[in-house]
Amino acid sequence: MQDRPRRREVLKLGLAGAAVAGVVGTGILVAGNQFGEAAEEINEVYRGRRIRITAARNVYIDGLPLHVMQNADSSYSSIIDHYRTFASPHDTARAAVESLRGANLVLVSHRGHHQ
Amino acid sequence: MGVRKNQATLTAAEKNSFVQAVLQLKKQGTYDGFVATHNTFIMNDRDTSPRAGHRAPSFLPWHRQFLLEFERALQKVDASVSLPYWDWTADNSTSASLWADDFLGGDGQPGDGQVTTGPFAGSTGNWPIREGASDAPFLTRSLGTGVGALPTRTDLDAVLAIGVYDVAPWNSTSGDGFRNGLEGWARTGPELHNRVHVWIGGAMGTGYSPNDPVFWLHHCFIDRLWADWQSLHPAASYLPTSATTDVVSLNQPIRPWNTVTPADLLDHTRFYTYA
Repeated sequence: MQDRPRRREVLKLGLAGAAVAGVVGTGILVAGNQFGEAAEEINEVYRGRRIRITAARNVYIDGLPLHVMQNADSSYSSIIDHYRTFASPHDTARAAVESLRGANLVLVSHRGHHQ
Repeated sequence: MGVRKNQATLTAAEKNSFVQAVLQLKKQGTYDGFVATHNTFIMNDRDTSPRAGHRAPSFLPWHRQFLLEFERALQKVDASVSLPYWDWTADNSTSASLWADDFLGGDGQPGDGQVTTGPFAGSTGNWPIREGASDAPFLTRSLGTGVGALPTRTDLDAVLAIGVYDVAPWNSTSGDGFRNGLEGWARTGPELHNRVHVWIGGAMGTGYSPNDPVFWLHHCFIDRLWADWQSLHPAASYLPTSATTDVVSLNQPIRPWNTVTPADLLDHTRFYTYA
């Protein structure tokens, strides 16, 4: 899995990362995924869907929470793409947008039941 | 005792009996309980906390019991039905008979990914999705897009050759053990079991993967491979054999049933055989 760069490196790479990402973002710092992931907030429109990632790494798609799990090797998986791993919450969110194919997330409790 | 057959060898009548029994469980509401149980374990099976169904040594016995429960439910509807298995190393194309109109139906359509053919198509009204990760009310698939190819027989043989059942830390990072080799949490990308889920995509890629009936045929093959591995390595034991943090050891009960242990499930011929 990709190593997440340390904060100092992210700050250094942040501007280039934002340019590479090529999307409209309103976050303070939006790092392109080739540079790993900053812990800063992300707020972007990707393929017509609003992705928001908080500093606490909570992920929302069009305002609804995406259940994301961190794996022991520091990669991530989500309830939408459970059998794959991603380098960052940002990659996980974008993959979920692609897999959803226009559908909306539904609220699922931590017990795994619909709310 | 039931005989589980390769789905490619089923007669038209056997395919129909399986499909009708599955549809009946859906109609009864029984089916969605299996879907919800699977997702509950997916969400709670984490690498560093108690885990039973996934990324753990009990991945294989947990799914053996899960399939047994499902097969017993099918047999209450039709005693002649056994789970078929899908050898995805052989029937590995999107045009395989598995995906024909008389069995599981085909790929999802462009756009929303909705399956529009076969007995589980949304338009039939017989397969509403009530327990899912999204609000799509129909079965979805996206064959061959998440990953380009299914695992090959060579991939499989390499995993079957591994002589040790599982190794510490007994999770998705365990290397050089049969269980994780087969489950497929490889650093290079999804392999074996995981790769098949990703290749099918749609519902099969989510925590609610049993929404796609192909789940049972896929896991039936995984179950068969565990038996094949045991035959190849008769001296190898389920591991761990003694109490180990967060995982189910040989003689501990498996959640959510709490009535069976891995030891109880090691010999599948107590319950069914493979043809």
